[in-house]
Amino acid sequence: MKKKTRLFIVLSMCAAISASVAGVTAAIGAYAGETWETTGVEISDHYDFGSTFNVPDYVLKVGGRSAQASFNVECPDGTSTADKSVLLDKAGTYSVRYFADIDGVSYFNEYVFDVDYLSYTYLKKGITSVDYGHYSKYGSNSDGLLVRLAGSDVLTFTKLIDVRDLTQENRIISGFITPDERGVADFDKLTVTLTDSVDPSIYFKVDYNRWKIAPTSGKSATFVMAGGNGQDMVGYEEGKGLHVNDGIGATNRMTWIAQSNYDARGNVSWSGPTGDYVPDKDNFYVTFDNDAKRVYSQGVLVSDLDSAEYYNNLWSGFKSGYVRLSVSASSYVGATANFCITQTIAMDNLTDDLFFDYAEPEITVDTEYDNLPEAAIGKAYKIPSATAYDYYSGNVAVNVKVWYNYASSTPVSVNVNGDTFTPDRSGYYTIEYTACDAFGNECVKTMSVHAGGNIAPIDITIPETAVKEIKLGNLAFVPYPEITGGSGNYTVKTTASLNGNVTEIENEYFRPETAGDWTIRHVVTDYIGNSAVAVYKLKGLAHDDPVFVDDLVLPAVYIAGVKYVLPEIYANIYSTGKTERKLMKVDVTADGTTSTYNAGDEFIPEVSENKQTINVRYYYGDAEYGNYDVPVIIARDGNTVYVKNYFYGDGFTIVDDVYMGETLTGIAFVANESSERVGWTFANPQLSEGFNIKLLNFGSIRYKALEIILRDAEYPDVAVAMTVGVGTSKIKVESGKYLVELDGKNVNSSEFTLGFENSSFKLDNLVVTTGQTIDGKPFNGFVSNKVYVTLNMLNAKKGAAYQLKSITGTNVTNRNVDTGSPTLAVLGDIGGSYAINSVYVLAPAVAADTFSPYTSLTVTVTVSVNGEDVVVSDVNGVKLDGVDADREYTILLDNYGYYQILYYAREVDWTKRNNDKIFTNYVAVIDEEAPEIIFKSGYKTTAKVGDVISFPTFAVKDNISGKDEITITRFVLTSQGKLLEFKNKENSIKVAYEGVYRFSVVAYDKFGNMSIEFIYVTVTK
Amino acid sequence: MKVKKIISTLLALSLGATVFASCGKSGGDGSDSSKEQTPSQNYDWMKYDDASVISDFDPHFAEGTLHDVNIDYDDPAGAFIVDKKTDYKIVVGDGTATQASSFINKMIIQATGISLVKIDEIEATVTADSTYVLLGCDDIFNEKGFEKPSYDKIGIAGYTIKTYGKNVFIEAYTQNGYQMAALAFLRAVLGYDMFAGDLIIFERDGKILPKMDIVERPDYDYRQQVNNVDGETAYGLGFTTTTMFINTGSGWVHNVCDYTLKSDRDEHPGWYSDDPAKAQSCFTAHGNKEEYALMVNRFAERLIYFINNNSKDINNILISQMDVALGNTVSRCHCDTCEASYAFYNSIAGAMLMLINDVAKIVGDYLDSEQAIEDGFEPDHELNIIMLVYGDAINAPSKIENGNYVFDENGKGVPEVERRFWLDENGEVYYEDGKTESGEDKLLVCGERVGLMYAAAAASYIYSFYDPVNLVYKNRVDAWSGLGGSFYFWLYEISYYQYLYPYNSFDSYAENMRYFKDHGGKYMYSEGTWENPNNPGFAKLRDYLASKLEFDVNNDYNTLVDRYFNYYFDDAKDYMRQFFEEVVANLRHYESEIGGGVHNYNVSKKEYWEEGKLRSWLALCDKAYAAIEHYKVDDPEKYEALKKHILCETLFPRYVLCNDYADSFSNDTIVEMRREFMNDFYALQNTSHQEHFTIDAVFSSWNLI
Repeated sequence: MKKKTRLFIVLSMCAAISASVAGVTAAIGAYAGETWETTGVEISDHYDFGSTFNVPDYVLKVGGRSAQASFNVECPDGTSTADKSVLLDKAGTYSVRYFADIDGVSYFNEYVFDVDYLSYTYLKKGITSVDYGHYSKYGSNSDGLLVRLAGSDVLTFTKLIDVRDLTQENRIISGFITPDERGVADFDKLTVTLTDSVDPSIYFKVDYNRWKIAPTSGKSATFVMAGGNGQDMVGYEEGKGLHVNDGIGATNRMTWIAQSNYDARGNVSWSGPTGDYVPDKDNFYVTFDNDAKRVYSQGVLVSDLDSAEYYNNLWSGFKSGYVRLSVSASSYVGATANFCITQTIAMDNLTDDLFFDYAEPEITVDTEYDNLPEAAIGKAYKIPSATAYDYYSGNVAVNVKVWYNYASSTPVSVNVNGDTFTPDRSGYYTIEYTACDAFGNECVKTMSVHAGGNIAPIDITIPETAVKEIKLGNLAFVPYPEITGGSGNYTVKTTASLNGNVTEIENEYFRPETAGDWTIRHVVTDYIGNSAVAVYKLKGLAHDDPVFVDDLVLPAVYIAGVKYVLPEIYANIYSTGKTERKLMKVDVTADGTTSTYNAGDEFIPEVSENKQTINVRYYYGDAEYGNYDVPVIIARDGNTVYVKNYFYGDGFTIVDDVYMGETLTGIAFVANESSERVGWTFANPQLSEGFNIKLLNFGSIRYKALEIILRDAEYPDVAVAMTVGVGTSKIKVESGKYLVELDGKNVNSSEFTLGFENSSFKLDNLVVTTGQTIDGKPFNGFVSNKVYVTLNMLNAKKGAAYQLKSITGTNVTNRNVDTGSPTLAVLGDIGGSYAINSVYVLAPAVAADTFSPYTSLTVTVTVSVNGEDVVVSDVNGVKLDGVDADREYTILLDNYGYYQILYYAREVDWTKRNNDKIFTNYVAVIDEEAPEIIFKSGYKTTAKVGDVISFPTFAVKDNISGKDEITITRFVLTSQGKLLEFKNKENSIKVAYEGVYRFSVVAYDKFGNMSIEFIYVTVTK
Repeated sequence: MKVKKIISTLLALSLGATVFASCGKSGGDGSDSSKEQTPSQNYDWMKYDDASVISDFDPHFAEGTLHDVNIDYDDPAGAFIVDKKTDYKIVVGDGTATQASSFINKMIIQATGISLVKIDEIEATVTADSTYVLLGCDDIFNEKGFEKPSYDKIGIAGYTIKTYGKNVFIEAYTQNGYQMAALAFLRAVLGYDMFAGDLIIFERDGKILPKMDIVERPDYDYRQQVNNVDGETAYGLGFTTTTMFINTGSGWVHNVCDYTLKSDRDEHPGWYSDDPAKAQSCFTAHGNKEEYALMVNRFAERLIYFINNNSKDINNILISQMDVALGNTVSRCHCDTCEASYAFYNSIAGAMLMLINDVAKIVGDYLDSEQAIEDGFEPDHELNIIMLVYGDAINAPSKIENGNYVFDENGKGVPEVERRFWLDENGEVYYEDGKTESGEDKLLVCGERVGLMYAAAAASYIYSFYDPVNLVYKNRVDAWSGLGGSFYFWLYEISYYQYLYPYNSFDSYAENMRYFKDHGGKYMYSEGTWENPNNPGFAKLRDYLASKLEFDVNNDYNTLVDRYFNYYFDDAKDYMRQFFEEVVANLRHYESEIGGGVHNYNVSKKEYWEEGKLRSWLALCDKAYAAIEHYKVDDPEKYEALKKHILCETLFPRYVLCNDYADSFSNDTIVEMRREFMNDFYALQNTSHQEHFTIDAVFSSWNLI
């Protein structure tokens, strides 16, 4: 029996025994006089892993008094339990702590024991077994771990594998199946799993599936599949392609029954084994290329875990770089799954039963300082927090102590109060962090703090560059103050206040909009809590000059002949000492002619040539906001739509008669010269949700990447990009920080699609989440729901090209005809089932067309009442008959049935071709109450063979459906197991057999809600 | 993860006493029922005054089956496993019993946590007080005065179990026999029953080893599982897991061209049908006697080759026409002699059966020869040479009058004379009738070792073959059954165009098993989906019914269904049973409109599956989930198994809602519903919504993939 400590605690006397000297506390003294006696088996020093530890009862005896002790058990991972029976499934040191009170005094006793650090672990002792030995059955001749695995047991290796440098050459585990009986499979599936040592939710597993087309098939081939967490199990079968979750996959040669279905010539017999086979003739072995994230077995590629060729969701790899190997089995036929492990990198030597970890845990102190700031005597000093992690033990506790004169032979412990200590004398104090893993490896980390030195008062100087006077509406520079003195780093809070209004200033600039003397205040605080304040005045001056504060966004390209709205922006005027907003003027100059508008007016750009620019000048009085040259494309002439003109850009030629066979497949873009970036912006903004373009290869690729940029049509700062890189065999997709590599299925195949859905890009079915804009800001979706689309070829050589087939479903060809209809996005969920008399909020919707700049969208809501469609009004009385769909409507659902929501999207002022589009959704108000069935009393429940039993009288009623709307059927399940229906007015059965006859009524209402009721009649002779 | 559940309670005691007791609605004592309602003026009582009486259902129990089971728990042979200890050891004297012994041990481990030590036969000293479970220890068995029933009596899958003192002897002839014996032993000792791969129950605690005297033969020697189940589950359910048919190269069926050589096509064109592709064999050799004799010899030579180059444990080999389904429309030879034979027998089956009889005669001579012994065959080796009754050979070549089969007093077909058609030197057709040694007409019947395999894909399996709906198919079977020979049957138990919809063949199943047993059934394959391992529509119930009814066709349907729901759904049984009963009632009511064909789309018509029904059933499933919720804590493994059982059955209503009622759900909801359906469908390892078609096309139409 090993006792770790023996302490007692006398709660009522604690303060008296603790000797406190100016905050430095001496160790608690020991007490003798009590005895602890067990009524069971004494606790041993060691227990086996996987065994069950039954906590023995202990009795405390003190001075002739005794008390039964309570207990808890602390496990190596830091968890504790008060269970009487503890499964020892963790290696390391366990502590058993007993507590008992006698005469108001609490006593404590602790015993510790170790659970061996085994090289591998499993739980079902006695059924599962693992022994190193020699295997020679059926002609084998191998040494290794002979494993007999039972049920759900898992063989887990203790030593972690450094996965970071693993390549296809490193065999992680090798072995072969060792059947008990030749010709009989003990199990059908062996699974090898690698699990991240830090985050166990990250793993990949490899399944070895016995090939068993015929149940007794012994084929010496095995199908191998692999998949990471969250992924399907996938295996690539050479010559046949991918298999997903079907138990097939990459072919490996190994036998499960010491027999093979291959004959001497290698031909396969499908109906059963043709001959014996030496079990260890072929070993399975797993290898893993960590960089490529490819899994191999027997040197054959099983799958590529981060390839869209294999999975719809890609595996991102191990976080920690260290993984744990485990092996399990399933589809048991015999009592145990039997196999031999001949090698694994999780064991240096297969004969070593025990494993020892000599590595210490790693302590991380959460501080920005390499050397902690000076402490002040008598002032609480914050101790930086710390964490510790050990690969074998996980997160381990960190103990913190503070010592004075740590390096001396007589260091003095210093009181720690929460996360602070208070120095009481000058000198050096040492903060000591200690952490211990389950193997007993202890790590110590220290940080030194000096106290009692000179700490100068905090002194704040306002820089000369600080603006003291400024015209209202302009940004005043409020520089960060110059600071000296104090201890450690500072925090600074800066505010501006006038007449009791306080504004916090960030980023050193402040825009005063009220005349007067603003107070600028800097409050500075150092590490140990010393603070100081500096104040100065900033005078805000009224003036007559306009100030331009509003942002102006013009389209990248205008479409000639189309009505646009000049953005409504204002100039700020501060002549009264407060803000006044004044609408700006706009001059639009085209072909030498200038027209003047108010901001917010409609105008129609017109040019004589395609791509000609017009000048747009915003101003107020004599002050100019800015003037901008905006290109204008000629997009339409009557019903002719000049498709090519929409692709605004330079450096490429459009080939507009691209055929594939006899089919016109789109237009192609060919780079005129080599260029780092060549491409176009589509002149008409598109709906962002559901946007997609279909591309095809055209000639030689000759570019390194395609870059697609989506920019909010009204908020141009909101723009996201995805780059699809082309390598020799891979495509890279990059969006924000997201980067994946794809096998090059898209590069050399016919068609691929770039799209956008749910705030993410899509490359075919691969979802590429983009969390940030191209400026690195968080991306939370497009504000206007419409985007300008730019597509560039990067590092393109002369002649680089691709085809464009369609934009969001509208084919793009040289026919100069707009055949596409508008698309629709509802800005919220739509449809669904609701209870009667509930309220439904119809979300706003937006529509857009590929070519037409303006699209109208209306909505009509109807419901069938007594067989007639009736237009629904919202709760405000608005009749929802062709009303604008750009706002919410609230509807009271007071009719059963389906409310039809019909959206009508039209191209406005566009071609005469009817491209109108109707979208229909429904809101269902469904009765979910089934009819009630009751039997009238008085029916018999017994009868004799030969009796005629009449169907019992019953009634059916429903909450909604009338009698004629309820379907009623009647049945009898005879005692001999036949369900007979009473049809029409059939009403009785002459029973011919003993047993129970079950009569049933089934009824369902006009919505189909169904109910059933039974009556049982026992028939005897 | 598969879950093997061990339920070692004595639930059967309560189950046996109740019929639908789970609904709590059983009848009373003969007077007014306990379910009586309080009469109310609010109710419009419905009474059907037409006193027309429907007929009760008459079952057709099979006679002559062998289930001689005597088990005595009151005077046990010994104490088997008490307090996780046992004195019993397991002894395997016959290699064919190895898998059975492993299975027994595995189940004992599951039920009790311990295993029996296995020893060699030579180490076993059997006395009345010794404690052995002996499998295949024939010599000791005989020493103790027992005699194994003959192979003729118990066949390939039969067995006997006898206790001797405290010992148990388990004897059979084959691996199949030991499999079934293992299940019988486990039933007797542990109350073993398997409902599915993840649900095994033990109704007894294993303390008692009862006295046993059992001789049984499964009613079908070969029992194929209905749906896609893995080998282990098939074994535990009692389906035949060994290879049943010899592969002749191109497969085991539609293989007649394997019986000739490639060179024969040029050297003996008369052996092949008269189409340019020579797609089928000509069973009359175009009327050339010499060529016919050579062809018979070639067939026999090839057949002998096949049985020598396959495992000798495989006892069945087919001679069957090439398939006409896969682009080949040549159903048979149309030469003059074939036409004459077809006209006479109203089928090409006459010519085909005569050829197979001739081949079987030669093969039989071989098997009876010393050469066969040298080649490794046992003297009494069983070999069944099976003719596929299919296509132009589906009509029985039995006697016909006025266009109808002639049946004897037992309802079996009356054999026709054996008539062979030849061409004379002028190319004219003539015939020769076979004669017996006594000069009487020789009748065309199945020769020794010749059997038949019948597959009626056009029949309606929502009715039994006793039902007039299936009369045309029944007549064929009846006619064939008059020609002797063992019968192999291939039935159908699902709508192959609509896997995910229920197919109401449940209560007809038992009767079909009895019908086909009564007509010489030896092999039974009631095909469900061979693609989906977890198909909805209560397909798992059909696996269980098959496992019980193929073993004993006289099992009681109602009892089996009760038992299934009580165990398979446990605390959720009430809700899932109501779901089942409503689905079945719905299908029964519309069966004349939907029809029972296994190749039509009717069952998926929206008009039969109103939204309310589907929602009602899913609401029942939600209640079912709630009813098992407590197992999450009490028994997590059991919870996972039960949850999977319920989840599987939700697939049908969810699929229909996703397909036909998308308008009832919001855009986001329907996308989520479809995605969840897809995930669950795949998680249950299913692949297909229609035979030969993966469901990917549906998921693609839902914009999921």
